[in-house]
Amino acid sequence: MVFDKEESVSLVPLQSKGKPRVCAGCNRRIMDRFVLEALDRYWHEDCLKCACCDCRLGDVGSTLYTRANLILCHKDYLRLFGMTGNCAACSKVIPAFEMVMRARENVYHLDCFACQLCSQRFCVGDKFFLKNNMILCQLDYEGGHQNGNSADQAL
Amino acid sequence: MKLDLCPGSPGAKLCIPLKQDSIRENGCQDLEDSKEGNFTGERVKTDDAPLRNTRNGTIILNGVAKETAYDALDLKREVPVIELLRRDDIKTGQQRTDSQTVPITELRRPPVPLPLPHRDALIDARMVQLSPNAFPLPARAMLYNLAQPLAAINSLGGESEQYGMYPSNRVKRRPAPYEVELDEAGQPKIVRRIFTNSRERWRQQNVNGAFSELRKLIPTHPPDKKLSKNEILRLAMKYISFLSNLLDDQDGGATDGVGLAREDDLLLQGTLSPGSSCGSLPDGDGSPESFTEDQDSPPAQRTVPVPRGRDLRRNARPQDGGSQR
Repeated sequence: MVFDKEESVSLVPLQSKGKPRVCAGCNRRIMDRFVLEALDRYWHEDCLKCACCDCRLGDVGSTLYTRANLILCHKDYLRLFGMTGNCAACSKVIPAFEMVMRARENVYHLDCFACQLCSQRFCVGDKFFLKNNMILCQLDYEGGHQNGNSADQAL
Repeated sequence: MKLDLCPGSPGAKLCIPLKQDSIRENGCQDLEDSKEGNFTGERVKTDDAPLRNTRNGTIILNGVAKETAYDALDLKREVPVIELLRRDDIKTGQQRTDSQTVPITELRRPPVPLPLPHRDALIDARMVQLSPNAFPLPARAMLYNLAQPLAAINSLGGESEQYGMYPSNRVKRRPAPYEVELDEAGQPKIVRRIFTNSRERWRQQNVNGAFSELRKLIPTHPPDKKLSKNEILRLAMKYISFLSNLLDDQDGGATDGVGLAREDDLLLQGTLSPGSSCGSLPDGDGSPESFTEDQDSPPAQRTVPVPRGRDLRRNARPQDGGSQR
């Protein structure tokens, strides 16, 4: 079972209700005027931070993500646990927020987007060709091009 | 005397009328033949002053004027060569940068001293001295101005052509200035110093490049926050241990679900490695889709690992709630 929760973080003013809240991050009483309320707990603004990038979740947005007993911000959650697919060239995972090249339905790492025969990367304006789901530069494509293969695109 | 060849002839602008030894004259001749008129810069008459910086930006070494004129734009080949200029030459030269798109230098390759054939000193001296404009951007970037190409690339938003990449079809590199031995007496010291300087500069830029590569991988808030080298290293260590712990707990944990309350308790306990604080609590992270199910691995009966990256979560509380540590 996967526990992914998108929680809401809300900033509530804390008046003296008689029972001072205890921060779930530092286990101390919250004496600030404003208190973050998340996961049914109360936090100092400084205590509710992303485990990955250390950003204050109260400032960043109104949602926090929790997974694997970690508190994460939206970006880091997607970066760590997002399912983005695999590169069509090397079949490895593509991390989130990384620059990719797309060709029809295929997605490639930026480094993987090169002619698969001569390993040359492309310049802006170059034509590349898709043959048997392989990326080919113009030379390699025309070198082996015997029949009419219409799967070509201009970059 | 080959003096009359020099002035005015198309390919001979490099030749400087010299009254010195014959080596230079021969070099002058050979240079004409070998070059295709690359340098259209100004020439400066030489004298016997050992090292003098003229207003044209030329350096005179041992009486031989090296042309470093800024409008020698005819260099077609993109040859990353270490050029030796004085600082003010560099600064004025940078203002006239070519706008031609050139591939980017890979910093990882050290300037390889090519085997120096028996050549005239003048030829080598000449071949070495190229104007800043004539240089492709990689060479100059490699030398002095690393921020420019890097900023340009960063502004593109991509990591396609990191500035540390050599193009795969680059031209063979020319001998670097430090290979020149102008003279056997006294002058090599200058050459050696210049060589050391440029090597150190190249090494430093390589290190800086590695640091910036590492910086790209570290998550911060805001993402473009400036980190010092020290911070880069420390945050990298933190991040590595964080990911390592995450991976350990995901792979070694049981897949049975944990109640929500327990998860919160674990959260509150401030441990970096989820689920490993108590032997009685199985890991609460379940089985993510991408990982294989580890049903058979026993729940984490281990003690809490040394909190290496503990400060990541800032929840460092003393333990409570009956979990053994």
